[in-house]
Amino acid sequence: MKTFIITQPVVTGSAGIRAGWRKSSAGFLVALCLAWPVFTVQAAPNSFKENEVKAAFLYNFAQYVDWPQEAFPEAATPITIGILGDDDFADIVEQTVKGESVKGRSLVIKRFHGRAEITACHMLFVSRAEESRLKDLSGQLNTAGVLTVGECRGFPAAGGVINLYLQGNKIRFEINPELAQRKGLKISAQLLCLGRIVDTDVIKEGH
Amino acid sequence: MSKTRPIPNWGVTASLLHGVLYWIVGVASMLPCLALATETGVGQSTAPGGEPRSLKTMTLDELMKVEVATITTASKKEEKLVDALGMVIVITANDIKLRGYSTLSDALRDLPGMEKMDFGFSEEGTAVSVRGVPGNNKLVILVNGMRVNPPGGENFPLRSDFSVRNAEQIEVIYGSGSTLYGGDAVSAVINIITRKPSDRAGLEAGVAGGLNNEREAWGIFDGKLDRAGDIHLSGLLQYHDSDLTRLDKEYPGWWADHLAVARTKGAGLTPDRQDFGVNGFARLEVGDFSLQAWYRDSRRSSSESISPAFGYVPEAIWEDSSFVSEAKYLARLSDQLQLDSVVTYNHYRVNPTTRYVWEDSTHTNSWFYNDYKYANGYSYSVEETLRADFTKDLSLLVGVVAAYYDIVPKCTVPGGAHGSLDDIISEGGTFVYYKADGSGPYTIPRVWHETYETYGGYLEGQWQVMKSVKVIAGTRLDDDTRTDKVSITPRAGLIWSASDSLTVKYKYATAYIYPSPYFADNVYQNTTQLSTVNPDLKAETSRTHEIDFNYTVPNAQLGLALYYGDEDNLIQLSDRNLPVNYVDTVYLDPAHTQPLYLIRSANGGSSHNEGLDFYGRANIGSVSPWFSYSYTHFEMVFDDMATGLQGISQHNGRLGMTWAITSKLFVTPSLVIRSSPQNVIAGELDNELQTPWQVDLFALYNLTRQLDLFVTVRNITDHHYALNGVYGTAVPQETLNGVIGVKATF
Repeated sequence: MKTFIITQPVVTGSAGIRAGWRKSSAGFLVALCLAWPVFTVQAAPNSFKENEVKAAFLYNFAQYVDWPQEAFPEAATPITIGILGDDDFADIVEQTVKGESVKGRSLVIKRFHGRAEITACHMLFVSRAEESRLKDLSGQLNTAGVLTVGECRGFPAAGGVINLYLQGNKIRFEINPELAQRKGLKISAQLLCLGRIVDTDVIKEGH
Repeated sequence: MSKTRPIPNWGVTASLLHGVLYWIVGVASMLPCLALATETGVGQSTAPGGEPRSLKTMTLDELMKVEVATITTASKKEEKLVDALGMVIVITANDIKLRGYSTLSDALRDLPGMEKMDFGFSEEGTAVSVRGVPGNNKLVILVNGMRVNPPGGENFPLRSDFSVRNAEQIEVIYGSGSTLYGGDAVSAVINIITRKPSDRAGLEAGVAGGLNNEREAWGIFDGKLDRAGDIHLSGLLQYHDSDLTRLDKEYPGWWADHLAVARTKGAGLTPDRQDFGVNGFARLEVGDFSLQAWYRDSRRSSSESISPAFGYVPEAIWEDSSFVSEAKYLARLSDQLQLDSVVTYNHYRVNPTTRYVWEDSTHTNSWFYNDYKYANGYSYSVEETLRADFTKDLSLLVGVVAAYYDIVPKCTVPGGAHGSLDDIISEGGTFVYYKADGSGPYTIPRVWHETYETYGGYLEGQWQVMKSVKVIAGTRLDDDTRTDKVSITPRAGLIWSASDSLTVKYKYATAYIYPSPYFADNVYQNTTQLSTVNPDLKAETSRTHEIDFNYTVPNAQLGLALYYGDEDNLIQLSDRNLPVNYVDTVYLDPAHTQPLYLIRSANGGSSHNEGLDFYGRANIGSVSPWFSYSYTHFEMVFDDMATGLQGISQHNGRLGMTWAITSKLFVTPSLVIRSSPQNVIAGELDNELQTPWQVDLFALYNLTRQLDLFVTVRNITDHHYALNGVYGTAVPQETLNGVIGVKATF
């Protein structure tokens, strides 16, 4: 009869445990020393929260769009950004634009919690939470002089000018220049170059 | 029978607890420093080569290059990294580009808690252990969610034929994961997400070449096929080939043992090694419908890690291939409901030219060349997954899956396999033996063929109880027509967003490994053993408890995972030589002059692993460092015997950084260091097993917007070291190697 033997026995005891403890401690200290410089100088991230990046996109959009003159009754009239359906995101946008100005105008954030609350603004952001109610927003989305920005499926078809979406782990946007023009908005060529152009005819055809 | 020590081993547990407490104190002491160092407000970033700056100062062009941390693998839906249950590591396309990863094996090198042995065994290529648990068969590998593991339950073949050059990101979910992914998801689920089609047609082509005749060429394409942009086609084709390190020159002492055998055989006096692989991928997307196919084929010397008894001769080849394809349709039933319908075909084949060439006393002047191997298996599966998002805070995932398997597991066909399956079964013939009581002859077909079906269903809910607390709970049932027992694999967890920066998670998850044909029908014969089938083999089960701390600030990410896992009803492969493997002593002849041990794979024993993974990454000006430290303790218990880590290190660490020297030049040195692998059989390479480490270097230069030049130097210090091989003996690793290459993007 063959004697079966486990070929790789482990012998541990208190000495082994102490040795393990010393190794563990030494490993920790080495890791701490290696890691310490990383955390004692100002570092920067490798990836970001989605809403932080989207907030920066909104701030950029404001710089690349010209509103009709009548949208600003006074020279000091601020650019108003309305956020529909996501107060957390509104907080982030507010922090992003805090102290900033675009073409000499400050930026103001308004929070809307439903269609009925929406009041005059220059840019209206429609959050993902409103996706199921896009049809009800057609009036607000078609208002002249308002740059509508969304993050929902079907937003361009519902009358949105710019729609943010994720492509892999990067944020992209699609833009409908024809609709923007109809609303009296002038979109810079740079913005058009970077976005995916949405053709109104294609939307009408149901694609 | 050998008794090594009694169980339970409370000393080790106490040691671990001390270690864990020590680490918690250490990490806690660092967090305030991290917070102070990084308190710079919302959305700060560093463009490669630039100074730290806020997101709002970026141009649109720069913003579109910023990566957002989202994953899809942990819950089968898109979610933020910190909201995913358990420890999740994401390797981004930027990491792949700047660290010079070419294959999946490259990328696994830098993952916390993982250890890879590049030439652990020819059949699996790179052997990967996760948190002390060995076995490529305990990893589930996905490409865009499509499972590409061989259908017969074989060890995942991880060689140079799995390119990640077209990956958008690689998502790695640690620990048990059968609730959503079914059998085999014991150690980790790894999902390679390929690049999403872009709006413009694109083509990338690259070539590289260098030492040891290493060559690589690849092409990646994508583009939209219609005006509206609803039809996209993308794909990859990669070729890789290398002669590998000259082991006779680099490890002469170790090679001397082989040479002593080879001289008696008259062949294999210099090592004939090879590492060839091709990988192809294509994906067609038409609106919500997608069709994708993935192909790999690779070849290595079948003598890797088992020299000197096996010959490094040209005939000693292991070659296998996989082809997996999937059709998927996403039906948006309503605003709250969507249904994924997936049909998958998976084929794995061991090329009939595959064979082991080994020393045989009956062939005094020649190796034994007739040990041909063959395997051929395929599966079809259908899976329906319904996701219901009742509210923003409450969602439910329900899935059902059915699969059919037709498998010829790895087998021996003297003379090689030719023709149809019936022909091959005939060519294989039978092993014949006689019992000690004089009965016989008994026969075992060399080529085993089996068909069976599996059926499963799973359900998981996620509830955002309050703004800072999310609860996840789910379970899965799987049935296999070969067994009466249904596998039940629940999981549950809680995610607490303690602050904007700190997330604490608890995860309990389970997994199982079905007694796949690779284990149950493992038929072979060697000079002392005859392995037969075991139709009574049962599923192996595992559980993981894990507590995760994720500290994420705009400037850095830090993670700590503390885990405890256990497995029972372990499937012990027939050649483990455990008592449970032993069936009888039999004889090849009626006269009882040629005894053999009749063995089989069998269930027996349990194991547990506990430890921690501490990891982080950051950007500091033009430097992006990363690090990890992992500690693991593993113990397998069988009857009253216990074994520890099987050729794996208790401590392993990684340190690397990408340095943007200019906006066009990126240099990435990296270090992997391990404590001495445990329980490796003593031998020639003992000195090279001590604290193995390796430093790699990758440099990338953007010559123009379309053209990149790069240099990869592996083991830049030419440090010689050894790791554990398949039979528990030390195996030499690759020494200094380097390639230069060019990549063009159109």
